[in-house]
Amino acid sequence: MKLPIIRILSYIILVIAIGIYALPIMWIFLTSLKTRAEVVLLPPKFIFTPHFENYLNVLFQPGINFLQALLNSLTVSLSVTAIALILGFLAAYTIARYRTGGKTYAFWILSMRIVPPIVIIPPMYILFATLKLIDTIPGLVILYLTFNTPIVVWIMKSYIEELPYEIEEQARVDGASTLTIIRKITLPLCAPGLVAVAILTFIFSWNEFIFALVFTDLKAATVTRTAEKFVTLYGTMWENMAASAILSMLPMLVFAFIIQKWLVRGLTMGAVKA
Amino acid sequence: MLRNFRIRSTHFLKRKGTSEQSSFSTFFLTAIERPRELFIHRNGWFERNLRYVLNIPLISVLLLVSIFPLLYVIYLGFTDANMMNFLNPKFVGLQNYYSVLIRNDWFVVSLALTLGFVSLSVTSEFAAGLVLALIVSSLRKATRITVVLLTLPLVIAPVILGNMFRYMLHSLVGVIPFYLEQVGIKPLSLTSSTESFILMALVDVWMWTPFLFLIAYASLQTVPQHLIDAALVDGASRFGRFRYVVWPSIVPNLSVGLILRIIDCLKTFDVVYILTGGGIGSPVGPVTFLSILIYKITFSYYEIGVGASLSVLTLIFLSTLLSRPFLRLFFREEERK
Repeated sequence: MKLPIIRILSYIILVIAIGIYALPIMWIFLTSLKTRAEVVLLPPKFIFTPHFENYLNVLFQPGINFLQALLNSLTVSLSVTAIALILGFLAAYTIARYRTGGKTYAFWILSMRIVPPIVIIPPMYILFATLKLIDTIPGLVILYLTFNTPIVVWIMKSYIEELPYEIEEQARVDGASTLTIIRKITLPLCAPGLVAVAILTFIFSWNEFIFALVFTDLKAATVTRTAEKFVTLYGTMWENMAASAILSMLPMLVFAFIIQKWLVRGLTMGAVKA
Repeated sequence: MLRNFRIRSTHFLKRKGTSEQSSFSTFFLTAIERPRELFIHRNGWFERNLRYVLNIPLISVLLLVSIFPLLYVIYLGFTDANMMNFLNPKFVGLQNYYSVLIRNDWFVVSLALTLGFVSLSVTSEFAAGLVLALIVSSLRKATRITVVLLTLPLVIAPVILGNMFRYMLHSLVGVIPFYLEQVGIKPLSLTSSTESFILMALVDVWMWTPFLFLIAYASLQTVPQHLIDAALVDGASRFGRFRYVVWPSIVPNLSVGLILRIIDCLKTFDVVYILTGGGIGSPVGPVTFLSILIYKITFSYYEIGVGASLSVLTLIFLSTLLSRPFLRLFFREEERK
């Protein structure tokens, strides 16, 4: 009988890979439960009495405003997702069905995916400074549209192209206007794709850093911006940093676990056609 | 071909009822006389020009966040703008370009570093992702839980992960250097120059291998089983099946994933900023990739004009490098038909 060497080797590699990904996150979780003395201790302690003070510190210490940051992140991400979906879906429909603007228009939209955010930051900073939009949530929403709309247009365009045109044609014969067709036929058929794209834009907006770093300070600071504040002000307070890291990744992890099927779909949809 | 015909035939059907007047005069006449009809009438102006009207919201946003900043950054590149006079800067011609290209070699060095970083990390991510995907798809058990676990790092903010690694790689309190020294390996340090470059690449590989893994895994699921069975009947070896059956059918999808990853990797900012602060001292350090360089020149040295000239050079480079493969991917369905 042949020994399943390859299979055993596969499982070993798999276990190592999962370990490489799970251990750091578990380590940060353990760190967030330690006291300051235990955090800098080497060799590290694996068995200790857990302390939950760090979480309370992060959440309620006046200088950090973590709850406010969570709320800001949620507001910005939800509004960006909604706006990007509406703008992107309408444009994607016309590009998929009518080839509006041809390759030039499509490339114009997609090129925003190539442009590094740091390139548009100085001009937008000057503009926002004159419009008094710095450190406000609407300003951040406008900036976040730059990298989210191209994704929506790209994915929805290919999604709409996969839908059968015959259904829309039938509705047209029955006397429906294009707007009615979009609202009553294309939109419901696109629902799975829209959900996947919405999840993707929400995650990208939640995780965005460089715009938040430059354009927000106190009022509109997002979760990622707060994480950066820990580095500079409380550079050695690792236990609070770990607690804030766990608090900001927890919503995303729970969210990702629940909608796991949609997530994989969204992440691979630009690339993989079923 | 068929679809084009259908679209044209629908248009023919639609046009039949409309008047012969030009669209602009109809628009104004209706707008004045019967404004409601513009929007509710089946053959109204709104309905006939819907394909353009629906793009107006997106185009207005694009004008604000894409055309305006690009024109403005080109203008700023020719001026001596800094933090004090950025509202009415002085025109200095090509002086900024002379300073970043000829007097100092900032752009070229940073570009070389970025390209080295991208090729190193993306190649490793691609190889690791593909191998993992092949392993996971060949197993019968534990595939689902692996896919779930490997997806999770993708939803955590890079900044948070950067903070996490900053703690674990710290030369005094970090666990990773500590255990490496216990085993007898000399750990890489974030403060040393060349070693921080390799560490950056390693962290990038950790963070983004799951993305290419997901792409590879999802495309492996789409390979038709009957082709593999046919190759098996013909006596193809394990390698032969992969090389001549699986590989050709996953290559198009993999290349899209690869291009997306290359684009994002060229823009790397978050993790490098968190882990090294972009390097202190001279403008160009070992991890001063293009985004970091522009950020430092603009926000640490307050030379907005010089930063803008670097931005323009970066844009020229990126668009010549990426626009063609990018466009081809976007329109690949049509070319295949």
